[in-house]
Amino acid sequence: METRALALALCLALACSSDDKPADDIAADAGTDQAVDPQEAAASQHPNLQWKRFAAFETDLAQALALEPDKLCKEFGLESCTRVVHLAPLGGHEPFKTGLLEPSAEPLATTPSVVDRIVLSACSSRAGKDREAGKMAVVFRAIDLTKAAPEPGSAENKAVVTELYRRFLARDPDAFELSRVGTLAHDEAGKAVQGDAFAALACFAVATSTEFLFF
Amino acid sequence: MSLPDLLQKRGAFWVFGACALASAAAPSVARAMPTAPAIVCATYPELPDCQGQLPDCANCHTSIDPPRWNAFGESLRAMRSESDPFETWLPKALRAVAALDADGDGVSNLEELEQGTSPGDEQSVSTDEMTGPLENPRYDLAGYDAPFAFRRMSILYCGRSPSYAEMQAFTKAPADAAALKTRLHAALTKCLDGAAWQRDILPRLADKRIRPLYAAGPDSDVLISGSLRLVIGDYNYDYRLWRHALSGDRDARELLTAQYHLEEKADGTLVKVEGTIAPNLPNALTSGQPLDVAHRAGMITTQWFLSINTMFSALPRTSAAHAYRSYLGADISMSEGLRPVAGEPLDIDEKGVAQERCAVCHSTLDPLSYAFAEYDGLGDNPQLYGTFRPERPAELIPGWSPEAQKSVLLGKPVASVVEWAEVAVASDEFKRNLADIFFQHALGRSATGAEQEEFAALWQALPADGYSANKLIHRLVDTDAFGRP
Repeated sequence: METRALALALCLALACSSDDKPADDIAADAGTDQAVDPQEAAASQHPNLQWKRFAAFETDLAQALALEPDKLCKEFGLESCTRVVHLAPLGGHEPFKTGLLEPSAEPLATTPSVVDRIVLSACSSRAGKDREAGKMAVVFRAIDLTKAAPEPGSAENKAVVTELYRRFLARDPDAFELSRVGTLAHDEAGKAVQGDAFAALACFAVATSTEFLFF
Repeated sequence: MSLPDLLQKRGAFWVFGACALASAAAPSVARAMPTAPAIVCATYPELPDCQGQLPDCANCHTSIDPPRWNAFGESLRAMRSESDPFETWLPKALRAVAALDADGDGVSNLEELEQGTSPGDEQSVSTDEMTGPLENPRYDLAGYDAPFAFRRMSILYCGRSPSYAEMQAFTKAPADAAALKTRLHAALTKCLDGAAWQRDILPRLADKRIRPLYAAGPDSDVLISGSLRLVIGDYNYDYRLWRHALSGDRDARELLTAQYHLEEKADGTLVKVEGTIAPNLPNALTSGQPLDVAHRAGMITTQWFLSINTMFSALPRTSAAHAYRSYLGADISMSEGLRPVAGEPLDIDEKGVAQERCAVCHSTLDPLSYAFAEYDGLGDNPQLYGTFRPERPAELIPGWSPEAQKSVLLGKPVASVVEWAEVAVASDEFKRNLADIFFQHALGRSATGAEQEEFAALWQALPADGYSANKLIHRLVDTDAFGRP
């Protein structure tokens, strides 16, 4: 615990996240001592949950994956998914040319698929960049993305999940979450997927969680 | 037919059409009473719906045109007296049914009015009671959750979530309530001073008030008369005033009282410009700000506001209604804020609005509008767009008389739009609406009945806070509505 606290203090002092740490250290830092089954946690009783709309969604996604906002997703490689093509489903509005003076009060029918499309694009983009970068990878530094994904429960597997939780949700995952997201290292037949596929899937899982998309 | 002619005829069609439709659909004697909301507030002045606003017609009605009533409205109607005027029997009826439960939801009519729920709708219930389990290891569901509020604050006012490092710094020891509150407000101050809030987020809250239109705005590429661009005003002045008045701890009343305009320097800072501003856009039909200083009233007398709202109307009902809606929170088209003026509407422009069904709203709307008639909208001479010409109403409306067409806002006579604005910013309606703008932005809805007490505290603190929007937001972030997951 002292090691963990020290690491955290140093990290904060340097205003860093989990940069430049080996996988074992990252996993050890994570708050894995508490498991929370979402089914057992009481739900909010107030109508206060807010939908994270296009600008914050784009900024958070770009910040978490260390991508330029305009590189997250472009339809046909031309127009921004968040700022132009799918602006309204993402809770934005454009008054000047479309006459849309207010954003939609509620998510639209296409909102879930648009969110999926953008997140998948962004996660795949980061996994691809990190695979090409090798040891200079930015987000998925704990594993070799060109090889089989690390086994669920392994330090490398936990390190990937922990990194994603810190980047997207600004907290450490608990044991339940480490276990659940870590299983994405295997396909339905129980066979290990490739590292970059695990990275993209785990990224997609965390970035489409209600905790990331609502506040 | 010229564009002005076409649009003038279109405006007339809508007024006549609405009245004709209402008349055709009118049942024989039943009618909605525009004075009812004010009578409810006179009877029960402490109701949350009477604080800086009037109760919604939906408290009694399922429809006002044709008029239909919900269970609560019917219970009141059952007590009406043929001999007593409406103003007399309604207060009696309200008291007589106070202890009853018209919608059968287990809460009395008066308790529902006090809670801000509808006494005629069994689905309308208070959401304040927490009855289920509250154990959640990650959130404090029973109280104010500071880390939750910190994240919400950062997304709303900085435009992004806090990073892992920022969240760790926020929750580090000492993490008592006072320490967390200090950190929360320090972070909020930075966000409110930041570019994300002032340049990206705050202006979007003005869109439905400014109603910009690219094709007729400063960047219009629509050509008329050869190379002249169809620019009827520059809404960037409106956005700049909005940003200025609602940031930097400035007095938000300047939204309606500013007699200056603002230009933006290359670094984004805003600088005041006094006096009129000559046309300043190339090949534009009009531009600048031609209105003389003495007749300015902030957002509701910019060239863009007058051009886009008044357009070709002799009596600018749309301008008045939009000002009323945007800055006092009362949408007359939704039957909100009805305060009928005795003897109105005079139907000075012969649009048929004196018909009973039209008069429900026009007895409030027309007196709101008279003062705006002295300002030009669109017309034959683009140099006059957005200017003050006291002779204008008589030019356009035969029979116009300043002695007869007297403006009234919130029950107070006003001699000009400048006075209109002064009465507006002195009202509870202005304060309440300002708080509602930021409450809605933060929570995606207005305050519920259960939240009325802390919501009222928000806007009632505005005078003590110098009408600072920043201070209002700091108070908002401290509310349970904001910080309770």
